[in-house]
Amino acid sequence: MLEIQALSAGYGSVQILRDVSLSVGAGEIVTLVGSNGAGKSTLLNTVCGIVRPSGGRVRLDGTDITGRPSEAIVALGITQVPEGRRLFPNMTVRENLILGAYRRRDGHGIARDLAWIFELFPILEQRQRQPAGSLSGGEQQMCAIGRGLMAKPRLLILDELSLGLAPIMLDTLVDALEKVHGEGMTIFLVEQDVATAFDLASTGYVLENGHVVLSGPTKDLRSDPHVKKAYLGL
Amino acid sequence: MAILTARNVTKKFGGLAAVSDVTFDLHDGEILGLIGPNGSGKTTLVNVVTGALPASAGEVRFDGHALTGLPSHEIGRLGVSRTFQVVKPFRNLTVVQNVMVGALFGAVGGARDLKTARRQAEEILAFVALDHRGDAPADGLNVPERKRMELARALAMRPRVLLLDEVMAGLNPAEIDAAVDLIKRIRDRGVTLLVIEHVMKAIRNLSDRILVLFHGQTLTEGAPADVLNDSRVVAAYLGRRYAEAARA
Amino acid sequence: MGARRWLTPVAALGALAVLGTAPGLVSPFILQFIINLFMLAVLAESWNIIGGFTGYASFGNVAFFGIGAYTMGILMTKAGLPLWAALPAAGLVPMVFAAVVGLPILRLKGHYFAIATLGVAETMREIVYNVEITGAGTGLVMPIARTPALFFYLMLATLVAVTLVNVWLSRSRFGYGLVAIREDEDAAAAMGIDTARYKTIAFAISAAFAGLTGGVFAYWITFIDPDAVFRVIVTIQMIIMAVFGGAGTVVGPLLGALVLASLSEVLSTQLVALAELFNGLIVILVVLFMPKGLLEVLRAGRGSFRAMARNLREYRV
Repeated sequence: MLEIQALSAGYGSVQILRDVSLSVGAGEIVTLVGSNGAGKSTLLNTVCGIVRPSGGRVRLDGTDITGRPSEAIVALGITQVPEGRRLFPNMTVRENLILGAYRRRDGHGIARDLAWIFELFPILEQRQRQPAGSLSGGEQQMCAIGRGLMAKPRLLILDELSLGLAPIMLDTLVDALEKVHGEGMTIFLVEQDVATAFDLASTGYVLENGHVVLSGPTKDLRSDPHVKKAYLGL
Repeated sequence: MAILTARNVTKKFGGLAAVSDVTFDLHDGEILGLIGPNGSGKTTLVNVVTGALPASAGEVRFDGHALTGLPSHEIGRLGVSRTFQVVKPFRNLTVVQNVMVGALFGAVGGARDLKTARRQAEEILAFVALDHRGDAPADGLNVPERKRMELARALAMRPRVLLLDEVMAGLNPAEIDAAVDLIKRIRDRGVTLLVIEHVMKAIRNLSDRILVLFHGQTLTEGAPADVLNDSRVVAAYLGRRYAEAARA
Repeated sequence: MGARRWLTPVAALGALAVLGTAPGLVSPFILQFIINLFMLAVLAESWNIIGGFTGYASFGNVAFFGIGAYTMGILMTKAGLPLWAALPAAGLVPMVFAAVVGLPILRLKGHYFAIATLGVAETMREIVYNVEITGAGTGLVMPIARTPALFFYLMLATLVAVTLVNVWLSRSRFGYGLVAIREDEDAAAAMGIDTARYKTIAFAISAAFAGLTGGVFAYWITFIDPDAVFRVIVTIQMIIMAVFGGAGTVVGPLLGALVLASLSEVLSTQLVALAELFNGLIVILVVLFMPKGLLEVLRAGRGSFRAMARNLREYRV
């Protein structure tokens, strides 16, 4: 579904990404892991049209989306759940979720999807009339994911899902994402918490200094000695 | 010997108690880990202790003084410092200037002139290994550097007690190891620490004791080995993936 | 280097000495312009203390200017005090007023603070309009002083004083405290800074200088009424000059006053229509090209144009 070929990008004279290639197949969960400064944010910014690449191509389902503006890319079906949630804190949970469906015109579909989100995350239904800013970190992450799903994307991108979350919250989110995936969603997870990322994803890419240094099935990557030492802290 | 004591601390927002009847001691020279699910009241508790928020009930005492009821700047002057969960750099100043503010103010007895303050700031920056970025603008730092500057600023205040609020968030495993090492060296300098964290590896390696909050109340406290294996803590906070990994 | 340190003070003293000869050398018209320029420079530089260093953009400093003017007026006309007794009061009364008003007002932040201070200035004008002792709407007529040179030196002295205060702020613990408050007030408080006290002191000092200027102004123009000394345009001018030159720096507001007062003078004689738009145009210019002020752009030296282009791009125009 998403194909990145030989992508290079940076900011001004500083090059961050060098010749990065990866692909996310339809219906898969793929993860990209790496440290701070490895280039994960730059990659997402480039895919989503915020940064213009200096080389390479990005294709969505065969369509070339390289260098297109963000609004166009969202219209094509990519939705990102940003790092740090970025909810609208003074709007209610319900309002945040409905805003996720901003581009849609199918009233029935929207209502049905909202019900589905509340099934996935019952606590959101409970708190639907509370301002989003009053929720705890984990609940906010659920709301952010829900908002992303309300756009009915073809590809859901999650940026730093685990940031600042209690371990048990991650369990809940991992379960929910597995359910969503089970219904056919394609998920691209950019993540620093390698253990969680490998629990969720079937395929993984490891980014270091702007290069992809390792890739493959996550069950293999998990036992790779370099990965174990540098990322799993074992 | 307890240098900071909290007794029955309660903080309510409207009808909702964010912190409810929390009692704990912080012993001189220890590192107390504070864990709990998001929304369990950890940051609120720190805000009450440091005077950023007034307590609804209860008392906090430090070194013979009652902290509850004092404005936050006076608590800082007494020797209690904190970092913020979302870091608050002075963006239009350089890194060393940020730390100088800590040296100039902070606990009573600090530098009164800029030259001394600068010298002290540079020493602290060297201690946290950020001296090479001293003249960089504060808003030009990356995530781990920002966290270290926040820490350096709090250290420059010459605290006896330092409360850290999720300093590890966003750090990769190697950076976490370096941060754990740094915090231990801070303790070796004679600072007592209370550390809020979600990164269990850090909590395990750092804490002498752990306090667990859940829905604003104390769930349990004790030695790390006991607390982290407590089934209630696993159920409320650690989750099954952590338990599985710990068993593996 | 040892020699370098003395360069600025020596140069400044030299400039002062040269300036000091002006009254004897220039025409009365130019002298008037210079006195007016000094006045605007003091206002900008004093606003800088609360607006630039502390980050509390007061939209009501003309209130202190007016209070200073009226204190001078009342003391000289009604109490018959001489200049050297009335002038310090013109600085002290607004200072105390600011400290008192500051108690509730400095608790407000950002836009709310701006609006509240604006309200204070407007209220002062209305009060003065309706009170006997100030001469109400009729105003006050001051004793005549025959020598314009007197006002020149008074304004210059005030300008030197307020500039020295700014210099002190830029290299003192107190000044660091103000800047910390501007950058992040919660963090500043957590770090041991008594923010309420510091803000009040900054506000009071700012008011004192505005008041002194008002006092000299009253004596200079010999007739004051509420509309003359509580003009909101004066507040706007001092803010624009400070921001245009570089709020939070020592020299910025002076530079801003010099450039803008001169430009404005030229325009009002050559292109009257443009003069009306002047302030608005300057604000747009600053926001687009030089949000940190002219001083910042000049310091970039040869990179100035690139710096301005970068500012423009950052605002996605």
